[in-house]
Amino acid sequence: MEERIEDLLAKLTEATSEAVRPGLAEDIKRQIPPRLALHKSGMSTINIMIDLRVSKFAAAAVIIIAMALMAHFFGNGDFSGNVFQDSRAIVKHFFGGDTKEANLWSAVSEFYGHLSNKGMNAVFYDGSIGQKEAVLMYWRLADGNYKVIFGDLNARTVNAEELISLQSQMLQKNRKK
Amino acid sequence: MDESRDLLAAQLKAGDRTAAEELVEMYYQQIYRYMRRLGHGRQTSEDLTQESFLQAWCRINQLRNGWMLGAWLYGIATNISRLYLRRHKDDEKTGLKSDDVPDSNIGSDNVSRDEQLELLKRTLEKLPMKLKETVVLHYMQQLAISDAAEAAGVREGTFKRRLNRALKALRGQVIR
Repeated sequence: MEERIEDLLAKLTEATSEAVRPGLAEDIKRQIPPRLALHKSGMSTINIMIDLRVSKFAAAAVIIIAMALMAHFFGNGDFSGNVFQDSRAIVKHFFGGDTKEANLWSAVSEFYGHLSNKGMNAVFYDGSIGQKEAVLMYWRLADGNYKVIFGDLNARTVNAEELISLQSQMLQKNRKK
Repeated sequence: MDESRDLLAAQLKAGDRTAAEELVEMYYQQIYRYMRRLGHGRQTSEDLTQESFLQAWCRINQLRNGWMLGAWLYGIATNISRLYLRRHKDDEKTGLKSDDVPDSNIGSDNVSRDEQLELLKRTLEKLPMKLKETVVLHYMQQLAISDAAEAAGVREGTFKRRLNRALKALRGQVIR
């Protein structure tokens, strides 16, 4: 009996598969906003403020790491090798403490905010902090390649194909979790 | 297939407009027909389809995985339809319009079948919207139970119970 109902529903589906106005797709596409995904712009300031309320040390760490990141990617900074380790070392040296993941997150958010303010359309995957091969952030360079920062704060310049491959690997890993 | 959807989801979340256009091409006809099958008029269905995509652009960050892409978009469309119905409770009597079902093949052998089809259409129109949604999502839009449940915003068990109730109601009226 149920098969007959399914059969009739299939018939009804066929009968109601009416043609769609061809211009509808174009109408919808025209409404795609220029900035499709809203990321965490503006969050960085909030995070700094939260950190200041929680701990002056944490806030100082955030600022130092953000400065280290900026020096590494935009200046003639003396930072070589793993910026993540460098940042930890700086905090340890000046404050005798250690950085926590939350502080790094805030620092990277601050860095992301800086990129956004400079008009660089960076993409930020906030779940990748501390993960060695996961893409943490990327942005397009003038030559068409992409600058990618990984979860351990190492950076590499890749082309579009490599970027897609890195993103796929990351998604597959996340799916397995 | 899953990988390409994952990639599309990643590109959407990264703000890629080309991916957004691809999503429109993949789903605009499905969403329009879903609206029609829920009983909205042609113009309203077009408007609600556009509204669904507009909402989708605002909720890109809520998209979890590529394999949930369809369920995610159908979920948005379902909410848009519900909201419309709440706002226009008295304006539009929803139901599959009679001109949706062709009558060209009514021959002596098909009379009984076509009568059944007409009866099914009318019975489906009269079902409570939540039951109608389950039938349309699963049998007419051909979503898997898990996806259809996600689109309806309920657990799979709840969705199956609703589907059984809907089928029972349809069976009781159409097949005697």
